[in-house]
Amino acid sequence: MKFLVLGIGNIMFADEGLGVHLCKQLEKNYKFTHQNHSLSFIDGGTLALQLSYIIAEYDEMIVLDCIDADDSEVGEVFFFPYEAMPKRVNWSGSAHEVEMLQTLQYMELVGDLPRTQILAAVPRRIKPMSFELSSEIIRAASVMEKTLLDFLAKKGFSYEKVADFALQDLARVSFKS
Amino acid sequence: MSQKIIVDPITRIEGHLRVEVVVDDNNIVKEAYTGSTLWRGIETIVKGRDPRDAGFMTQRICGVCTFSHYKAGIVAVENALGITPPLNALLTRTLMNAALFLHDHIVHFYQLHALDWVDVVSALSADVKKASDLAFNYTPNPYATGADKLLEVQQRLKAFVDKGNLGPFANAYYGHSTYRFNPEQNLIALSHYLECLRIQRIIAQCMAIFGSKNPHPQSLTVGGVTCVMDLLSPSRMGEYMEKFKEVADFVNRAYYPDLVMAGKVYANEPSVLNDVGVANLYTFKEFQMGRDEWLFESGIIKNGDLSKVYEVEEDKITEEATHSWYADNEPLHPYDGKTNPNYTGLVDGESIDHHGKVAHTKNFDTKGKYSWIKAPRYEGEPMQVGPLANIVVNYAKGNQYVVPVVDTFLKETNLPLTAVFSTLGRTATRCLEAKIIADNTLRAFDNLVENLKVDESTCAPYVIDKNKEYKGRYMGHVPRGTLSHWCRIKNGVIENWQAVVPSTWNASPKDAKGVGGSYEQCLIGLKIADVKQPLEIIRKIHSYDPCIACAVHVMDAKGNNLSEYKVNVNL
Repeated sequence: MKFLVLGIGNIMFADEGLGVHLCKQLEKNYKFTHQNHSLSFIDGGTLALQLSYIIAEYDEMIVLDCIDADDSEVGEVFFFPYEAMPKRVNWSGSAHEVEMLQTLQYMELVGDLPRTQILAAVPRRIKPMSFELSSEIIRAASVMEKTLLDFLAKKGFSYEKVADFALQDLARVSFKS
Repeated sequence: MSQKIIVDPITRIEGHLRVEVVVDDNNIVKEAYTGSTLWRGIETIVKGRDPRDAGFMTQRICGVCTFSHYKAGIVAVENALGITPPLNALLTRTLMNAALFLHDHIVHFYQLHALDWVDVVSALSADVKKASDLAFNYTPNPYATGADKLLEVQQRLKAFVDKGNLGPFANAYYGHSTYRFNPEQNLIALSHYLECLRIQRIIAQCMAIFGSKNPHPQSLTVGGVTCVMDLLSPSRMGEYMEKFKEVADFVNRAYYPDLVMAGKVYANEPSVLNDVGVANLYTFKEFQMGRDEWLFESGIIKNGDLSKVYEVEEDKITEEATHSWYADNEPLHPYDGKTNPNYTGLVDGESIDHHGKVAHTKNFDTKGKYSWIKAPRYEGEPMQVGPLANIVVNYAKGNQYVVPVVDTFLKETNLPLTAVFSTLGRTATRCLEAKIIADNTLRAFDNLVENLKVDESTCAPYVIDKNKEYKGRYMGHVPRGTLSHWCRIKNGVIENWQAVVPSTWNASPKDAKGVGGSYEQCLIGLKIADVKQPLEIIRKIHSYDPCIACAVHVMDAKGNNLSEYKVNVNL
């Protein structure tokens, strides 16, 4: 099977770039192996519908993202299947931005959405035009990292740490790659 | 007694675009205010950085117009440094740009705008055989409208609805009195809606072919492009051509006929007609086809007078901030623009909620500042930008690629040219622009192939002299209209950067004289059938393809209990 870890977020909005930065960090810091499965890491950035042809090639996907949920606090981490998302997201007057959730809905409509999990944290700073992450989100990222590694281990992936890039360092240069 | 209606968010992401209108006793709009409630401010992050990096940041402004801002960020620096990239690079950018436009326009019409025109629920009751025959009224060779196909579409929709999951179809105003298609017409459009989900993937791949990397391409660089190996690979080039043709076919056999259908049917719907908004039109040349040839040309039309097209004089552009959340109110040319935020917030007030009751709400401070969007002006006047401006200006100039397409469309729909100045016209001209791009891009492709036979250069050499000051700009046409990026370079780094994006022209707040932009102006006089369901407002604003500021992708799971999925940190 083909596994995809997709990082989503706007890297120029501080904590909002978490998904992308963590995706890059995991790809650089670990080497994953599995006898039968493959694993890819993709920086989805701020794109949405344009990603659907890429996502469709995979059997299973973990989306790394930021989330805003009821009764949640900054830095909290959620890990849930796509099916647990609200069935009726309020997009009254919806227009432009097709964002990630809608992209997944469109793929469900087309019929080729991979099995999807969402691993996301509640951001503190969605501050325009900054690469500096909050300490809460850096802590949340390490929770997300551990959660993902455990998940992949359960799927039979073995992994070894091969580097030690820090999230904040990657965040400052992520626009270049 | 006048009442206030607020539509927020009107773009998908919460807090981006918000519309407030005041209606009288007859539900006619008397005042309109549109504002963006999220600060963009790309200007501040590129300051002090290497000019060669600017494009990589500007492309992250937005998740939709990503290539537009990438190209603009690169070209502005090239313009400042006096670089002319090799023809191969310029034509490659045209091919990538064509992919962006077609992706943008088809997705806008079907996924983002269609539910303003198409009543999906009504399609469930269509007669598939009648619908299949009907499709031939709008084109001699219809697309995905055979009776078997339409039956399958109906069954798929029904299965989706039966699951209790309307997904993308949730929250439209089904049954609204201003929907005009009959069930069969709705079904034809719905079939194309689903086909578009497939086609948009193909055109996104066309972007990737020359992008070196997708998402967020990396192949444009100051001086040219880096995708040399792709350009020299016959199989990569062939892939682009084949995929592009498949998408062009969809544009000609699905998108275009659907607009002919809409043109005929909605010609009698007052809420989409006679609402040009700002009648000053502004467009800029784009799509370099050969050494000295562009598909679309620049020009300005004043007060809707097609008999004279003026040249664009870039020193006449200013931005001011009387009603915008910035400290410096005075009109400034973008080279000297200032971006110092001065957020004054919303004020307490009342408006109509979706039950039709008066509720206490936070409202725009309409006497003061109410938007993060500045007010761009040309000779002190607001301008309308976008496909309507581009097609009308080029039509008035007698552009050989534009005139026959417009004339044919008007003939097929029996619409007069004046009908173009409307919500229906904005939606139709976007389709015509897509058709013209679909029908002509492969000429640029052929020119590129020919040129590569004699010249393989893709990048021009240059130096950045740290002791010299530079200024330069990109001006061009992107899917939502005229885009410009303006930069100053000093000591080898960026000193100032301003982006004047299409949606700021159209969504401009009022200026010092109290004159608003096209969004605001086109809403005045609109009669709203049901104040609880302001579909007419949404449809008008959507006809501009609003894309305000940048994409912030916080997944909104509110209203859903996810507490059981909270990750326990101590485990």
